[in-house]
Amino acid sequence: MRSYIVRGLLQSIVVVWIVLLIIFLMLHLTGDPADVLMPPEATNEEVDEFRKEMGFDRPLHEQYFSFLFGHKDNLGVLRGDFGKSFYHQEPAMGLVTERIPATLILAVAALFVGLIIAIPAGILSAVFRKSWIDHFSSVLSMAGQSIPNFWLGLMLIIVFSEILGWLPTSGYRGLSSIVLPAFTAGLYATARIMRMMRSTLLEVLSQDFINTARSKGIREAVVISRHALKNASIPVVTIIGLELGGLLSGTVVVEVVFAWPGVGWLVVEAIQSNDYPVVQAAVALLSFMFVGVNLAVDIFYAWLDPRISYS
Amino acid sequence: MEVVKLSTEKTVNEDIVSEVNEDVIPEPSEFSLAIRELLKRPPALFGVFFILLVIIMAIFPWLFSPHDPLEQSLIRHLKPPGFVDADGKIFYLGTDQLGRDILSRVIWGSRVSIAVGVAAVFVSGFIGITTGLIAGYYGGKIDAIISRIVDATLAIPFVLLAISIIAILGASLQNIVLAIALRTWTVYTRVVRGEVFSLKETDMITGARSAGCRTVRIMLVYLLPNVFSSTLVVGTIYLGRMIIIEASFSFLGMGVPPPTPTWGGMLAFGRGYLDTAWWLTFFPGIVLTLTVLGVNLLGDWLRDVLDPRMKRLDD
Repeated sequence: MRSYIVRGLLQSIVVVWIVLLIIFLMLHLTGDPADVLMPPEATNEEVDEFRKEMGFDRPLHEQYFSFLFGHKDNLGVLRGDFGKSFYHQEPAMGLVTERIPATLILAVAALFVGLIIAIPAGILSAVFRKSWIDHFSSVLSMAGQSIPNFWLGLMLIIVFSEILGWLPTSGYRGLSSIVLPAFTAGLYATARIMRMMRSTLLEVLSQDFINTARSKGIREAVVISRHALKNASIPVVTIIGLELGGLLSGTVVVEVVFAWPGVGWLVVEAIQSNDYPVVQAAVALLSFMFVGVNLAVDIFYAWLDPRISYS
Repeated sequence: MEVVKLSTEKTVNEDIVSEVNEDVIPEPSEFSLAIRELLKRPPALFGVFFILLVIIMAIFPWLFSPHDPLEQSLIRHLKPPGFVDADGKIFYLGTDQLGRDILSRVIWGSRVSIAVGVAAVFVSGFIGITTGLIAGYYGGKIDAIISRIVDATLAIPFVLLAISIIAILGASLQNIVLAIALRTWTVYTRVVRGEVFSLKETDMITGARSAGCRTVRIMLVYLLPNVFSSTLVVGTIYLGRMIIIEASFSFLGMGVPPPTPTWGGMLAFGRGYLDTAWWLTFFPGIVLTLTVLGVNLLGDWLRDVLDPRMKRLDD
């Protein structure tokens, strides 16, 4: 178990390093970062001056070293310093961490919506296989994987905000403002969790120990809740964890649709205003959280199912 | 004992019957068999029909488009579906804020979606199949390196990285395709690697190797055709996702820049008129959804027909 965790940790560190490398190289993709960062109407002298100021005229490996460990008054990204936002003139990381709670709230709410729909629907469609409820949930899961979530968001706004006037169109105030974004962001996760719940439960229900339990005269409800669900829970828990990781970084478009003040919206704004320190800080922090959640899921999985860590 | 005997007799009989049948009736071609299979499954048939329609629309938009998708006119801006102007021209799906015909823009918008979707599937498929063949065939250290790269790629939050890369490189068709393929090749690598691992030990490959076939020939002639059906299934399933990703890039303003019509771009424009002009967002979105639905239904069916082992492939 311990070596399993150590291996997972090492792998996560490598991934974070690769992400940071990509983030560093991102600005150099076109050759000249000063060109990318400066507005097109800047004069050559201004661009040259900016290049010197930012240290872009130094050799690449030197720049990489100071990117990681700091240079002059910059502490380096390893200590969380991504420089100042060009637009807000504030530390970029601070701007990102300010927006983290909103993204977290949305991701958790979306997962919650997903779970309260997906788990019962998945269980019912496995237990009553080929019944109307099974067909209905398979249509629902097909729709969940086909409807682009940002379009669903717009349609929900038209119906529930513009026509019915029940819920606010956007913003970040009170419980009512989270209903539409959470439902929109959670749609895809709902479809995936539902399918996983159904297929694992079906697999467990076809095994011998279930027949044994039934033949002992145990009531069907008990067979399903005590015997089957317990054994079907491991893959479902895993996919729930992975979906949470995906939601943390995947709600960008939903945040934009509902003007939800999370990290995703911040990144889109920062990209539009060429504010790269903020983009870099946001991508780095979200990657870090994403990797962290995945690692936690892996460890939890191994802990639930001892066969994993020994193989 | 008797049961076993009976059952063997039955198979023998069946064999004879099928042999006799084969003599009398010519075996139907694979194509007509596929059509017959398809007719049995209406959702998949709908999928095929809708995708064909969209692809034909994307190749020959001028055959379908009633008006010029770029022609502006402030006199007829934000007109509802079915609007008829002074010249008697009908605007079936209404007009947008610049007076452009929604139907024509939806039809022309299919071009970017289909082009990006198909190109991204090809590029990521090419990278994924190549790396998968290499990893599966050589195994050992090479496989370990490729697998670690795949794991690392999957651990990167992809959407954010892709939009930042597009922002820097500029939003062009190629850059969007590259940014999407950057992540999705891993899916093909995993599938192909797994298949090659099991194929490698079969008599076919050991035979080819002992006959002195070169590695490249083994990969291209013996392995590639055998992994084709599973990559086709993965490719179809992912085509839908690629189309959604392209649309969300366009929606965020990181897609093919205006005035080229894109479904995602139309949704972004229509967003400001949700309270007054629902048709701006409804029609591009419903066509986008039906296209993706069609691809997914086709993918589901292909999976069941070609590769029943992959029934549980959820990612």
